[in-house]
Amino acid sequence: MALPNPEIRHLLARTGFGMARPEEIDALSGRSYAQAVDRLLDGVATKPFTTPPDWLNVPLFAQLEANLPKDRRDAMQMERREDGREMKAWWWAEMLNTPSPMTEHMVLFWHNHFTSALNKVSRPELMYRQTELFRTMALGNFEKLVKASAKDPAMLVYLDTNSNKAGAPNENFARELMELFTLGEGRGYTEQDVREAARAFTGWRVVTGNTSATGWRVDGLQHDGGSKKFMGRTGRFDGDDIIDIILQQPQVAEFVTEKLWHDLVSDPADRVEVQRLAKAFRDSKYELKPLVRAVLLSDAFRDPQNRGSLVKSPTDLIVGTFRVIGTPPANPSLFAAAGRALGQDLLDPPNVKGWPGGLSWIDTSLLPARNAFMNGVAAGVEVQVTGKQTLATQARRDMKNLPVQALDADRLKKMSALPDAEVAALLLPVAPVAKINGVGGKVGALLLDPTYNLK
Amino acid sequence: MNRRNFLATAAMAPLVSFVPYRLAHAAARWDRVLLLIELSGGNDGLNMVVPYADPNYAKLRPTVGIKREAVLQMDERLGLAPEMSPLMPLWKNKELAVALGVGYPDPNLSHFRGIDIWNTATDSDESATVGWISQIFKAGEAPPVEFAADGIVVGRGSVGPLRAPDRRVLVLENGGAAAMNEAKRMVAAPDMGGGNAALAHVLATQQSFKMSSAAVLAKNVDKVDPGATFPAGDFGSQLQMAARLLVGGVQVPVIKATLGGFDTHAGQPVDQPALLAQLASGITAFSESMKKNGLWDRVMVMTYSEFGRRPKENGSSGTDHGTAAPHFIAGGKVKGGFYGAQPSLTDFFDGNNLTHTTHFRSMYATAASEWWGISVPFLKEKPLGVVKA
Repeated sequence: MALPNPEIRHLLARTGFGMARPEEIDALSGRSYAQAVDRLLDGVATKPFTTPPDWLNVPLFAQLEANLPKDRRDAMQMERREDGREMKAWWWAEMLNTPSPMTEHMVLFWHNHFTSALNKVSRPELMYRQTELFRTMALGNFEKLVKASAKDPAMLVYLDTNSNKAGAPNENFARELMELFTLGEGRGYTEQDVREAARAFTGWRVVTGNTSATGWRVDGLQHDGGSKKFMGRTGRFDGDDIIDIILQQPQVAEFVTEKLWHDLVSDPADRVEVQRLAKAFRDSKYELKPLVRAVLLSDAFRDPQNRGSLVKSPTDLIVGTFRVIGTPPANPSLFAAAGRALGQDLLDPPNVKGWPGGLSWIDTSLLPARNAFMNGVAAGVEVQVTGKQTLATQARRDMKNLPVQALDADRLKKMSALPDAEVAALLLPVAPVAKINGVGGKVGALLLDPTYNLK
Repeated sequence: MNRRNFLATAAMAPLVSFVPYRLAHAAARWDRVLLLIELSGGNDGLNMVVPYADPNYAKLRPTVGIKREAVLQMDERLGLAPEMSPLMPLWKNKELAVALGVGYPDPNLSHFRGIDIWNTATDSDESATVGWISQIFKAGEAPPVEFAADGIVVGRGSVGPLRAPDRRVLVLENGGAAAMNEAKRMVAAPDMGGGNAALAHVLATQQSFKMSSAAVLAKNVDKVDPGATFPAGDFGSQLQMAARLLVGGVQVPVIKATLGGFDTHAGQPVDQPALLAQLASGITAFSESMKKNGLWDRVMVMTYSEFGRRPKENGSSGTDHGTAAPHFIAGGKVKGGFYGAQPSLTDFFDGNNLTHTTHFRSMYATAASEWWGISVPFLKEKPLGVVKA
């Protein structure tokens, strides 16, 4: 094996989970970079690879529940909590196993943009449907994505559209639609616009009791069909009309492009480049795939100085590590627990703004858990490579109960036999900065290098 | 005085003109510590500081209400839950202040959103990620660099008010052994320069964590005798840890502890009194430890919770999510007594919930300006005036 192609490694690390398997890098190497980008984007799957839990397609019981006797209701809530844990575990398993990590990277990107949280939505099947929406539309059309998100049952619950009614409008969704989903805080809308937009979304309801395609309907009695004044226009606008008017504002394309830039390229963003790409994005009527393609082909993305300039999220750190040196997880709920311990409880973002990300993934309060986890991995590597079982207990404790068997002994033995430079080029985005003599040999040393936190 | 007159006066009396300048830059009181106690789950304030003389109280709470004869009277209207008797000496000694009806306009009744608002000191329709303590340190003055940390969280609770990427916050669960071990084995590489901002951040955070941990380790806090007996259980251990840190001489301006389990939708008459007993005996043990070590004038204890609970009880011996609630401020420099007005039990703002009478940011302004002497414009509300001169 030769040194992995660094540019392809960078491409896969940034569009996936912070690093890539050697065979994934090899599969895209040996052709031009532009061809590799196209092949990557054309291969982005829209369906999950891991079979979802079988409780997903049951009817929604929300309306009936209140009429149930208390013990039955309690039992249902217990079951729902269990389903919630299973749902989280399923998503971690999907991220760890999928042959299309970019799909899940984008699902996570949209989960962190059009946020909803299981702790409020409380029905895991709705959260599953929402991730399915993001999976299907991840690189599709942003206008369609906004409109579908507005009608998504989890979103209808999370931002209270489900209780938004004529005469007593709830502004929660209308405000976040502009502030967080499309325009950016305070950019081009007024409090009056928020109030009027809230009226347009009145009566939008989750369909309960069946499994309709969208899970959304309009309750005519609760909908305010009157005239609204919104962003200087007047009409009997409904929710889709409001979204159409918002999407006519040029700052939408800039806002979304900048957020994608932060995710894929650098933080802070290059303003001139963002404006150039945003114009093309708007001209394309919000097609996401050409936008992402242009970002990945930009000089800034390809600049070798750009490698290792972003901090890995806890999800990057865990999923990336176990995709490259792990085996398919036997108990994926342990990965969900690890993510929570390191600061990223997927499907339960801290608030409607999502995880702030960037440098805030690492602070003095989060660092010990992250460091302990990687120490556990390094100890696990030692066990799997040398067979020295004395470290197994410590490895398991530090890896938040993940067993050493979650690390792939064959892969690690092969990797440990490679020249140092080759292993470093696979595991790290830039040259290591520390000389660490701990457990796990050369692999362990690189896993504990400060640059392993970067992508 | 208009500006012209002021300038003229200043020119005539140059020394006088320096006075406001000096006051504005008076050093913050970093010898003072704030102990924050989060009552997680939404504490029912009406059953903690009971409006026993209000006939509406008993009407609203035929099952979960505390009987008038059991209440520990604080004045002719309000009294403590009986399980909080350990706090009565502090109250009688005027070392315990109670802020009444603490809340904010347009309250949010979700646990998650509610605590978010309290953690970040935002209005209820705003979202922020940096905690209010960290905002104070950023907007005003930051604690001295030679301090062990900007804040220490004892126990498993959230970092909440201290959250910020660039602050030095230690989380010390179960006496902090795990974090201290991590600090010992972490290889903190020096920043040789030439790396990018992300690498510099990782290296700086590692250094910062190691230095903070070393400052705590140097004091051997697990060997420190706090000089008081703390109640058994996790919360008692947290406050014991807080006392050991301070008695041991660890320099830190904020310590945060958490007592959870206040989401009493059902079985409240069993669950909440047990929690209030822990709270009262914990605070009392902490105050005894501080007094014995001559530190009581240097600490201020402050409670908070994501919301209070519904005045009218529900059908399952509990109370649902509500709004305003009383909160405690205690310390040797605290002027004991009630602050603000007790919310009405008939004039509800939405037909069901208490109208807040004291903005929660007044408590934060108290910590910032009265306690530490830091001026922070983002806290628009006036401090409560509880700190002795």
